[in-house]
Amino acid sequence: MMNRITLTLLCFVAMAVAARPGRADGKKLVVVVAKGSSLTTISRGDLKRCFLGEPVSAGDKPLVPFNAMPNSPDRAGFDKAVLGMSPEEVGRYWVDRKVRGQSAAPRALPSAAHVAKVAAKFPGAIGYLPADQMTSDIQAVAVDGVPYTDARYDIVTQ
Amino acid sequence: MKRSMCVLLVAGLAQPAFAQPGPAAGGGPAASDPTKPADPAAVPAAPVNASSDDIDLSSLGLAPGAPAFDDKINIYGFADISWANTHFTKSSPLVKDTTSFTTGSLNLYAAKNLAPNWRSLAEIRFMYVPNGSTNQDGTVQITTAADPTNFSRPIEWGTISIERAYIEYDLHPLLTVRIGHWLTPYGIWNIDHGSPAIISVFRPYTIGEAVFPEHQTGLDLFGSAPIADCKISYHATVSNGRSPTEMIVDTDRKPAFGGRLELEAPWAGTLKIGASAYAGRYTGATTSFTMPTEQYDETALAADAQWDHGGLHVQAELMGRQRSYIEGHRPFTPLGTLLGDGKDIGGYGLIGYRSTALWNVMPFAFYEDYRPLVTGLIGSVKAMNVGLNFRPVPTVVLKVHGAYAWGDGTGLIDSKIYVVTSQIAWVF
Repeated sequence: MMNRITLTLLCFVAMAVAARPGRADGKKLVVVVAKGSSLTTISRGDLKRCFLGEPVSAGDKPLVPFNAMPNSPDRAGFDKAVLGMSPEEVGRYWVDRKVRGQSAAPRALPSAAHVAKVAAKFPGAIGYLPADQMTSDIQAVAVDGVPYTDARYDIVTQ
Repeated sequence: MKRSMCVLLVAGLAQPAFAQPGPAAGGGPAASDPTKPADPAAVPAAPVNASSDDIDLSSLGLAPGAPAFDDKINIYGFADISWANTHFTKSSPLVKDTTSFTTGSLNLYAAKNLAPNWRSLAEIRFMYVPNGSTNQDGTVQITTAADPTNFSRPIEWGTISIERAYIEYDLHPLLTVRIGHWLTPYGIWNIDHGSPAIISVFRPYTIGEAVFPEHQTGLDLFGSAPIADCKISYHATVSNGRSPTEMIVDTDRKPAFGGRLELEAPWAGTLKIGASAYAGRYTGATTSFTMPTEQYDETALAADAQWDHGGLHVQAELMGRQRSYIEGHRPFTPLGTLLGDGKDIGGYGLIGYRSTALWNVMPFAFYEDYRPLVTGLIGSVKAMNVGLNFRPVPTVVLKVHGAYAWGDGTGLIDSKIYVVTSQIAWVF
């Protein structure tokens, strides 16, 4: 009898553990700038400030951030990993900033191909896209010195 | 039996490992050893994707020669409508119970980047007043006019208030110069003055009493700098000071000075602490040659703190000012005596928790204590407030708010006050 109870309990534990949501099977999101830029690494703090509407420069050039579209897996993943915010929190953040009269949200581009093109051609542009969307005229920027190929890199799509 | 148990446990525990993110899609290189320090220069060549040459950047206004800023004018704003029931436990000719819907704010913003490093912002509040406002003698102002577009039928006109109008220039990465009419940079809820950004239906009484001037006209030099994981921000201001006409003239020709320091740190969430100061001379408007023009020197100090940890939100502001009247320019109190020098002191503390359930509801509570120099109508005020703030979408806020306020009995209204109110505020 005792063994049956123990077995049943263990089965529940095993099923519960099995049903536990694992980490999302996200693609790595690469922070990108134009090929040849002197920016090869950026601190997570600067990246966060840049995408929260505060002025951040690389050398003497101001960085111009470009976002993925709201509610896209790329945007949700980046906002969570870098800004530490859910989509609702990000929405409230930008609305409250508008009411204060502060700067508006970075411009959102319709696709990763647009991000790649803008990062390559637009002066000072910085964006992010899935690793399989990299093109030859942009370069990856390591975050806190961690390149996107490193297992510790944690900016992924949601 | 034991073997079955082991199989079940192993199967269960092994499952999440299959849910871990795999290597980068698209044939990216294998992950490096996470125990070794990363070498940013060692980023391998990226997989080359199909070209995006068919994307026309100029159609997005992002051609390489285009300005690196949004040069379009942005028109937006916010509005709110409230319902409130106010009950005084002791009736008085000065106050009466009310139950009303009220169209509160209708504020319109026009923001534009004029050129690289140059920005402009104007904020206009549209109001129904003076129509419907109560005069000191208890009568009500009515602003009826004949509407020429509607057979001269009666129409009530309102007016506007210019909340902000300024231009900014980024002189240096650490210094921006703002000139114009701006909100005094102190505390939390003088800048977050828009109803969608304010958690409760109304701000604490202390804030509305303007221990610091709500607006000033002049120069505001400000900037911020990251230091490690923290951010230090500052403001230094010089202005016409406080007066009913400060937006167009410095009546006493004595500039007012102020400043603010703020530290933002990622300590157990986000912590912001700030300190503000202001010093200047107030000069009232001469509205009668038989009464002295009110004039005093004032020095105000304030401290504030805000802490966000997950959904938890805590904020507090404490402020006070010293008023020293110029002889011959003391006003009379509501009790008919000449007003002496003294202090106005006030503060509040608020706690709330933003949930992800029930339209992102935030239950909140705050307590405040305000002790003015002029006891006036209500004397010192203490108030307990509780409420709910719903944010179904970022641009719409629904609030329910209850308040219980009591004075010290030194004012003309010796009554406890109950307020039940609700509001919908939105950004457009």
